[in-house]
Amino acid sequence: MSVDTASALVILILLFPLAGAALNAVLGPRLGRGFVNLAGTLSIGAAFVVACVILGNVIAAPAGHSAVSVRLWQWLNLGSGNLSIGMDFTLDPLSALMVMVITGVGFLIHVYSVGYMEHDPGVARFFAYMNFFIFSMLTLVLAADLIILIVGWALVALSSYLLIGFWYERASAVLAARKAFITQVIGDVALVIAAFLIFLNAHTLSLPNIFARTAAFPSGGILVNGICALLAIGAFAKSAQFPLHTWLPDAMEGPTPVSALIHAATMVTAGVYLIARFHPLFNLAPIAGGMVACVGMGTALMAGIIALSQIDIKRVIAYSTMSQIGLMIYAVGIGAYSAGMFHFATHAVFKALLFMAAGNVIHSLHDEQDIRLMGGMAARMRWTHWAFLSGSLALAGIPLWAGWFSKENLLGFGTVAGPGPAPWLLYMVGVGVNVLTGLYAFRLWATVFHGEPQTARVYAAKEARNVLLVPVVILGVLSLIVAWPLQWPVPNAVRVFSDFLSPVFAGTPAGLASEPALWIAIVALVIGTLASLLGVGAAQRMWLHREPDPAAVAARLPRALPLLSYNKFYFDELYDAAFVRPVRAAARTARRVVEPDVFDGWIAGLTDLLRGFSVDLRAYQTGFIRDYAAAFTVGAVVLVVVTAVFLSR
Amino acid sequence: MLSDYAPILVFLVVVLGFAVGAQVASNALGPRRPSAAKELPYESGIVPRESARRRFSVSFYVTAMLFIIFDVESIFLFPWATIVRQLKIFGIVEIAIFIGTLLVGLLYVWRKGALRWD
Amino acid sequence: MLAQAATIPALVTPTGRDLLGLLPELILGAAFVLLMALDAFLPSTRRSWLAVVAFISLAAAFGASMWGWFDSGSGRTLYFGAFAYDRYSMFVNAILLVSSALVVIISPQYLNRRGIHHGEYYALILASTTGMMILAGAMNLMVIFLGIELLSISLYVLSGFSRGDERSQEAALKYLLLGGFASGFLLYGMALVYGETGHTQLAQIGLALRAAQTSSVDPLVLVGVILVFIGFAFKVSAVPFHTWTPDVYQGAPTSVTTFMSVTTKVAAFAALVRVFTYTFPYVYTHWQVIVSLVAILSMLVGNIAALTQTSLKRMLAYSGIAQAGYILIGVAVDPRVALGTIGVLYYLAAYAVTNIGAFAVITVMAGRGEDLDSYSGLRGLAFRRPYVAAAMGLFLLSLGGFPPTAGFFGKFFVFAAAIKTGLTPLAIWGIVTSAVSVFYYLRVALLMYQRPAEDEREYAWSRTSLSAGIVLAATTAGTLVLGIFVFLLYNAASAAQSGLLPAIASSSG
Repeated sequence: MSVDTASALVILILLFPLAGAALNAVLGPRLGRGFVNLAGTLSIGAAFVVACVILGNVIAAPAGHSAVSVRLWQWLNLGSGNLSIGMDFTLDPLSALMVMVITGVGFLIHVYSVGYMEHDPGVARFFAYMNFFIFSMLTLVLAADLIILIVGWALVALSSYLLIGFWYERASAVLAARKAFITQVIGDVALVIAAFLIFLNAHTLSLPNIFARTAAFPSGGILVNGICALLAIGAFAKSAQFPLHTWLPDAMEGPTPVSALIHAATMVTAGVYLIARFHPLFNLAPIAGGMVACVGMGTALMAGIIALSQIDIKRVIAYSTMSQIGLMIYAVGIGAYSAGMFHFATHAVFKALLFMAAGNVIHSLHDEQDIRLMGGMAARMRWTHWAFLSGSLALAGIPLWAGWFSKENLLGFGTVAGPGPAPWLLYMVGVGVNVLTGLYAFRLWATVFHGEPQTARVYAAKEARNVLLVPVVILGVLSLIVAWPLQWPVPNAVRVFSDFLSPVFAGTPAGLASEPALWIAIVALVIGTLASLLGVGAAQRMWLHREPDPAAVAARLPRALPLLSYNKFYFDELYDAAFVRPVRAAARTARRVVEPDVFDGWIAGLTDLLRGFSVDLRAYQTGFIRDYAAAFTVGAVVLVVVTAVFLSR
Repeated sequence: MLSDYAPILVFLVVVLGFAVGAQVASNALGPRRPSAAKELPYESGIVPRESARRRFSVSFYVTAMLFIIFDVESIFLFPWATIVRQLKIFGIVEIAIFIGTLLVGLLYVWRKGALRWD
Repeated sequence: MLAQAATIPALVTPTGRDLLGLLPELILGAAFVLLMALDAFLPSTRRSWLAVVAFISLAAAFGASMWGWFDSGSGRTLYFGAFAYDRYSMFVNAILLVSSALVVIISPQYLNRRGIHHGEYYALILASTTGMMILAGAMNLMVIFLGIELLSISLYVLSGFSRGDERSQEAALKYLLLGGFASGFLLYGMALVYGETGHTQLAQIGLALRAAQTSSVDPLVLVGVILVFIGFAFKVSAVPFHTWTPDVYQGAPTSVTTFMSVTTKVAAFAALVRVFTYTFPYVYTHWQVIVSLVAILSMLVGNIAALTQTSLKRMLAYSGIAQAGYILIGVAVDPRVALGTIGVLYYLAAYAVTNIGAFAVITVMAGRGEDLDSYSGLRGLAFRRPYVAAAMGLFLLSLGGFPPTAGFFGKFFVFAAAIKTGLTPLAIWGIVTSAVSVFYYLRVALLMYQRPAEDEREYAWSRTSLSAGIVLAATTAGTLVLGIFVFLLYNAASAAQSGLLPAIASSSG
């Protein structure tokens, strides 16, 4: 792929969503719904076509030349060795994979949005934000300069903020948006500090150059571990990992397509991407990597437990997202980068599906989200039900569904790689997460689609219309078959996917995430699969057949566990007590005491001074030409005298 | 270097001294016997009929200005005339453009009514 | 007689190359004559045709300048060294022509509304632009003076274009008298420089100064240099030669203010850089202090005085004074550092799009018969004309120097050049005063987003016409493009700088 081709492709793929956003924002309100629907979806469709071309070009590239960096323009250059920022973008297998998922899944979600937002008056604004989100996300994953990456990173947070708060008349939506944004900013700050440290040591902000100068970062040293820890904090904020995870469930206040696009398929996985992109640094930072792996697996476990007891359909899926991303973060933490990315790809498909199918259910029940008030939907929404089932099977990791391939592949690495002396400890937790996943996935499926209808609304529910159904069904089929030709969780079986990504991660040292031996892999596969089946089976028995009744099971557990789960481990309350209230109190004190006495005094004094000076100056502006000429002459004489007397040696 | 300008300074002093000196001398030495007839403005012996401070029609100014403008512009023809042979065709074209521009100016003045006297 | 004439040796006529090099100026000159003739014969209902003719001629001159950009290559002189044919002048031409064209687009509507739509307006705009282009390319003291006078005289008339309006008349008279005053200083300075070096050609003056530099510099030539600077400082409205600016900007019709606030500054700075940075670098150490002093004063007085204004046009006038101070930083840096000149060029282009945009908002929003001048007139604009208010907000941010707008990079390059040449205090002063400027820019921006009080009358803004939309869209785009695609203009400015005539001798000190 020549540089010219690459530049053209990068410009096109960025331009389409941006143009869509601009058109929708400017012309959308005037030209009406039909135009908005067309412009909104076609722009992403066009970007998807470009993404396919990019993928084709990357695949067709000769070995060793799969990565092309293009500089669209030099944004700022203060000479060699100084700050230099280029509009640099990179096309390599990793970014090609990301743009494929973003535009492909994104396109289907946009089509779905046409139906979902049909009666919303703000549809032009909605599509403008959505298109802008796609643009930001593409900027983020294509960036080959740290500054551009941070710009994309921040724009993604901005569009997420706008979309969570899309229904800004609802106080809860605004609060949720603010919470998400503040959490993102914590991550942004960490990322910016990391960028400073990188620039101070590598003297460049261009990603390829940073990775070429890893010598600047002594392996295992405190510097590289610190940088990676900061990057990881940025990733945690974006990917809703412990301890920066509390915003994600609240973010479900946004319209359901937003949850599908941003808070399941794309944005929240940006953290995974970031760590995978910075793998040359993480390879040098085993401590930070170990921290990442532990946090990932811990979040996976915690979110899985919470998901078991939530009653809001979208929140259950949100916690399952958090859990699955925890697995991805764990994978990239132990150095199994391509395994992590593979789970990202399959997860994007089936999680978007689950959200959209849930959206159909919510839609047909007139915005009911409480699963206790559902039940028996399968008979009324057959297609949605089958698609949802397919997604749940994939999520739970049932053999032959996409999730099975990616999750077992990921866990296979866990048997031999991981932090600390006993890497398999985290693997064992992962097996537990498998059980949990099966449980909560099929608890949801059983509660929503089976059993007795709980309200009258359910009886009136009808199958969604085609525009809402077709994307769901497409993704339902994909959830089954998408992984078949790509990667099998057995070493040296089908491994198209990891071969595709291998040029990117070629530098990963052998000690990190070496593939397990065949027999270990098969044993792990059997254990993992059995765990998943166990979870699913238990869920079937408990929530479908009520033997034993889930309430009875909960009663037999230590009282703390269900409470912790239902209350999300009290993190919101904890943060409220630990951060929000003290900060509020400090702010109140500042407003009452510090501000009037200290700052106001200072600032008022300064402004009074300037204002007085300004008024004095106005007095000289008399409006009389004679005064002006006099001022002119005095000025001229002073300058001439200064020159003649002082400056002529 | 500054000393080069000394003659100018001397000249300046002499000139100022002469001008001021002449005024002072004539004021100090001359006899003064003013009368009404002597205070009249001198107008070549004709007795003025009324005050000179009265308003003239603006047309005088416009016409005078137009006259001066076109008069001054046409002075350019004289230096041109002395070297018209050396300038050959270039000179002809150049002066044609010049006169053409003047002509447009005259047309403009005429169409805008600046030549009308009422 | 014939024999006598034959002995005149230096009788050379300009060549076709000379004429072609002046093509942009010639086009505008011809268009000026054409417009006068058309105006004499066209019925008064067809005045907008004149705007079309003016626009076409500006576009043609722009095309000629672009052609000149590629044709001039590394640059040469025309008319025996009196005029520069280099990328620098073409760059400045481009800024001037685009600015003039934008002004011409918004003018008909505004002039009709004020009831002063006369045909001479366009002719005078073209004449003034011609003078500015001559000033930008001038390589001879006399040609500089010619350019300044041509642009000034046209502007004197334009300032008083609203003949029924006393303020406009007052503005014209003030501008004329003080302008004549300043021309005297300029001419005196030129005379001294000529007297000392024996040349009016910039290149020759530079050589003479360079030769003289080895011995000692005559104070008289320095005084001449400073007097020339004062002449330019008046044109760019730098303190303490700025006093006319607020009165004239406020009194003149807004479209004229739009025009002169930008173009005069651009042309005068172009000539200032050519004369000081490239002709007088050999006495740099002598004039640098003066230029810095004037820059410091301009930044201070302009920004402080703008704080308490209540008239939009006066506020922008003081802001223009402050901006002149920032640009002067780029002049004050060591001539051997190219970034200074590049910064000046970038700043000028950024200032042109931004300031035209800001004034265009005032022009096109003006109601029938009255100018939109007081702050209160903007209150609530954002709710009635959201796009216009957003554009105005952007222009104000750019004037304040926020990224990613054009204004940020103008300041950035100029300050960077100052820091690079050890003039860090100047850059710090610039940053501090910019911080002050944010107060009054944002104050206006906030006003637009405030709802008027219940009993308060809303200003009767005009409808946004197509022409207004075009100009606002173009300036908005320009402000953003210069803030985002920095390299586009930076590279062009850098190319313009590298071929600038007269070239500084490398062994200068």
